Amino acid sequence: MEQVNSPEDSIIAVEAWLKALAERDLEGMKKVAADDYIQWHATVRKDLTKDEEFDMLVEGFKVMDLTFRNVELTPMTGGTVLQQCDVDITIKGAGSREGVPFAMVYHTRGHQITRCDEYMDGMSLPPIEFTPTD
Amino acid sequence: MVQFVNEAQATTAVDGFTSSWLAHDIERKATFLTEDFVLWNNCYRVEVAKPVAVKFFNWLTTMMWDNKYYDVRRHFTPTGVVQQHLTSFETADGIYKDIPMLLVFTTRGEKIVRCKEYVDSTGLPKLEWPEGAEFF
Repeated sequence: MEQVNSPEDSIIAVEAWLKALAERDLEGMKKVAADDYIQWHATVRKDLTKDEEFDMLVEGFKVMDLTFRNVELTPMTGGTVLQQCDVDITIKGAGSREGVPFAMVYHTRGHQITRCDEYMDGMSLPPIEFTPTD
Repeated sequence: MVQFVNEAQATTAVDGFTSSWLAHDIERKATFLTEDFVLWNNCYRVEVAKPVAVKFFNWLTTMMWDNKYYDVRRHFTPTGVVQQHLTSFETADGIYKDIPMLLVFTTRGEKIVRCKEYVDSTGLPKLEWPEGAEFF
């Protein structure tokens, strides 16, 4: 049976993820994401594999600037972490939005992330052209 | 050392809040709210205090029905409960289903102090917030 992460280890994993994301360090993010990593976005509504998510991030980083503000991390039971924050987002050619509320539920294993469920209002975002479709 | 909320009390609060809503029993739902309760919604960037929230919940029951929550997942925090679920409901304009929601509850004993709703409003009916709602 897999051991459940401690709140302290879970927070370390998420902080490492956020640091790499803030630095647009895709290789660093890949190290924090477990091989079986799953990403789910409220606006896409399907489970993306690690490869699918990073393919999207590569495309996204070409046109998108993100600034995370008021980041609040809350440890939760089961080795999970809640992130709440406001995001300033600019997409080249599509516009900017300030202070869009985001919330993420991370699942962790050791100092890695195994799943991220990301909630936001799609109507609060500039039009995004690089999300995968079925 | 992280100390999580009392799970039994927090569960009573959240079960009371959600089951009352699904039954459209707003009078009962109000009994699970503290006097300083605040409802927060990401789409409208709005906060409302308890009396306005109760008005809002009553209004919601007039424009949507047959509300369901499914694929419910809960996590306990040091101050409450986080619930992820899908919801479905019916309105005069049709049926809406598989809408993902995240609810971040702060609890005090067996009552809810704060409920933060995160939802993607794309394609959803527009909500009307009563007088007294504070937009941020």
